[in-house]
Amino acid sequence: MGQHTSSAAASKSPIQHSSRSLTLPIMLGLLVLTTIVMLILAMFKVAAFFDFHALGFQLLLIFLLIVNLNLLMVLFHQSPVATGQEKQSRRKFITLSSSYAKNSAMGGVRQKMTAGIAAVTKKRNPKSKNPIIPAGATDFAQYKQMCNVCQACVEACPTKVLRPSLSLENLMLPELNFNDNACLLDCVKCNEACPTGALRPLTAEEKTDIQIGYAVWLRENCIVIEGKECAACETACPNGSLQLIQSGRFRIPIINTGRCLGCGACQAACPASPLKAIFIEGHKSHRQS
Amino acid sequence: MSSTEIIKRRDFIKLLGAGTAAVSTAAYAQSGENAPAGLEALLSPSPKTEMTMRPDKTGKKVSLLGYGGMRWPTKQQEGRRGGPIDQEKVDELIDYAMKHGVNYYDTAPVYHGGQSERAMGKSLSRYSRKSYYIATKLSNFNPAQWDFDSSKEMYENSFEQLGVKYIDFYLLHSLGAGKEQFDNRFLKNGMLEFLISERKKGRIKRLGFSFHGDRESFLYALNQDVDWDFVQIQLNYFDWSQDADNRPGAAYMYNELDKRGIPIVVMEPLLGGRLANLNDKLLAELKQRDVDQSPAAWAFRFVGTQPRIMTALSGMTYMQHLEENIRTFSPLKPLTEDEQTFLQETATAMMKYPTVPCTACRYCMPCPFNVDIPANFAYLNKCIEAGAIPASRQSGNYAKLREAFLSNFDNSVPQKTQSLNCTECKHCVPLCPQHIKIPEQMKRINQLVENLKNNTL
Repeated sequence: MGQHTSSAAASKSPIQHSSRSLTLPIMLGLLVLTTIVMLILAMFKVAAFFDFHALGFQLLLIFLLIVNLNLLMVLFHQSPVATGQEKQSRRKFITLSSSYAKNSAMGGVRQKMTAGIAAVTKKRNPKSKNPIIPAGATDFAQYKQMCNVCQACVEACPTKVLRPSLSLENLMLPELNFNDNACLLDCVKCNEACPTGALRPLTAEEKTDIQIGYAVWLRENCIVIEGKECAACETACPNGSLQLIQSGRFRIPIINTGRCLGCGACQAACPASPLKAIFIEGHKSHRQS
Repeated sequence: MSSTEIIKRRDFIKLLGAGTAAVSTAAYAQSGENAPAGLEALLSPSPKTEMTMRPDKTGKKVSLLGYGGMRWPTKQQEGRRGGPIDQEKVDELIDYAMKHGVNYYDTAPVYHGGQSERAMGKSLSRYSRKSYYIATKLSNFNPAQWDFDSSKEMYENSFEQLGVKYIDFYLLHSLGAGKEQFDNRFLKNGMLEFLISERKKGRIKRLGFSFHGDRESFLYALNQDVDWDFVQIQLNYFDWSQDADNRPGAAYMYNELDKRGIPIVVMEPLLGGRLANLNDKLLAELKQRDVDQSPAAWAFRFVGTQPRIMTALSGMTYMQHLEENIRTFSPLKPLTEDEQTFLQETATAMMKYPTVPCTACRYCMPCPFNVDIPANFAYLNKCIEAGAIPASRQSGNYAKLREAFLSNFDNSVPQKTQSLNCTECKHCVPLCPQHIKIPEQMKRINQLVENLKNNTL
């Protein structure tokens, strides 16, 4: 972004203007075209195509986004002569946003590549692969189908661990997040609050028999490995499914996954910051013993 | 248009653009990390080629992990599991298994009260018939089914339920109750002869038997003039070298079959899931050796290490079990000798805890007096393993444990189906393949409950 390029761009402004007025109909045309393609696909119920995880769908979304962004740029910058300063800031914005996009898309790849070589130095993101949903929901597909996202359970939750999801595919669907608090074993407030039966009514005793997930320990995030003493997760566990064992120099937690209910007490108590060293991985369908 | 207005609007666009970019790319990156499709699928090699395969007698490749059809997910009835089989979930599980190289699918007419064959056949029919092997059994346990016609009907019915023209592996189901029963079930009625002729015709590709019983019955069945293509036995590190009540240890049966060059199908590699849920002390010992390995993986590796094993059956109800087991078997890392000795020691330690060796196969059910036998044992075992049964009134937190045991018992096992309803009619005793003295164990539970209730422990 030197002085040279910005002055060169300013001198070419008349040509740019004409190209911009051309861009508008092209972009509009592309937008209409992609919308029609999507409508046709929807009409023939090519359901797999609309699966958010399908690569084709993701590429199309990104394409649409680019078209839209360009369209917005063009629409809101109708003034024929733009000042150099303005151009520079716009260019900055574009480079900024594109480099951000590149970075986050590459994030997954880079993590994969380093996982084998530098597993100990690189911290891992304590994130459940499956969404964690309250006991009484049995399995995710059914829960998603029956829930009308009224948020009554979110309101009812006394520890505020039940929160509306922010992910695109499950937008507003209540999910459990144990970073700050745990789900209480004898509390069935969300089940009582649910008007649709997505969370069926449970007694507190029944709830203690349902495993919604299990704790996973991340060695690379744990402060014990840095030589500190800690037993927060063991102390927090309400049903003794987590114990500390001596492993070499360290006292590390091991989890009895057959007994762990996935209440999240260990995750909430974990002092590792900003990435927790223990987290709950949700079960795809809840286990009832 | 004033300049301030323009600036405001421009800021707004910046915000909007950055926002949408962030949301879409974040979602993109996330799906790349976690989702099965998308980036992940492109980056990681397909695990299909990694499943360990073992040859059958003719050299055809069978996956070392076999799918057992005894514990399919069922639909909820009145808030409890135990209703009809959930076909959608079965499809989902079988899809995942097929995708990752599992090609042996085992069922029987008696599983799930007769629903298992149909559900599995339906789900597998979506694949090419050559891409999987089906195993089913002749479960003519009841003396009323011992005549040729009813046994043949059961055999023909399996074809209909499964919707297949041939069966890859056909088993005489659960031998081991002596010569006399073998003769009655298969010889006197000419059923075995019939099955051998069916094998010649090609409707049965391989003939074998599954076995739970004593040494004598084992050799009697094995030495029949049949040319067995495979034999299914119970094998795991817990009963590898145990000879109890004239029941041969798995090692004995393994060696006999190995001598004869017969491929082995293993059932109960986890002893009905009990080797996957060890008590805290044993779990700690296992984890001390390898933090990242689960007890189930240890047990499967023990089974897979023996070279004559063709496939190890696991009745996986939940996707998480299937995923974990496929990881263990793709490919299987054999145990070292040192590790095998270590597991033997673990087995010895396990014997000190007097759990009931029930594998929840439900062959004993239904009970004429409505006792849910496996549920009672499962509850007792769970409490023993968790150390949640007070030894006496003087023990540490007696009051708390007493309260928990009694109230959880009523929750886990509805009162109508509790051990208290057992009349010792002994209907279940000959049915149990583990030879558990069920009425005695029921009495043991009753005694415990009574002592706790009356504070007389």
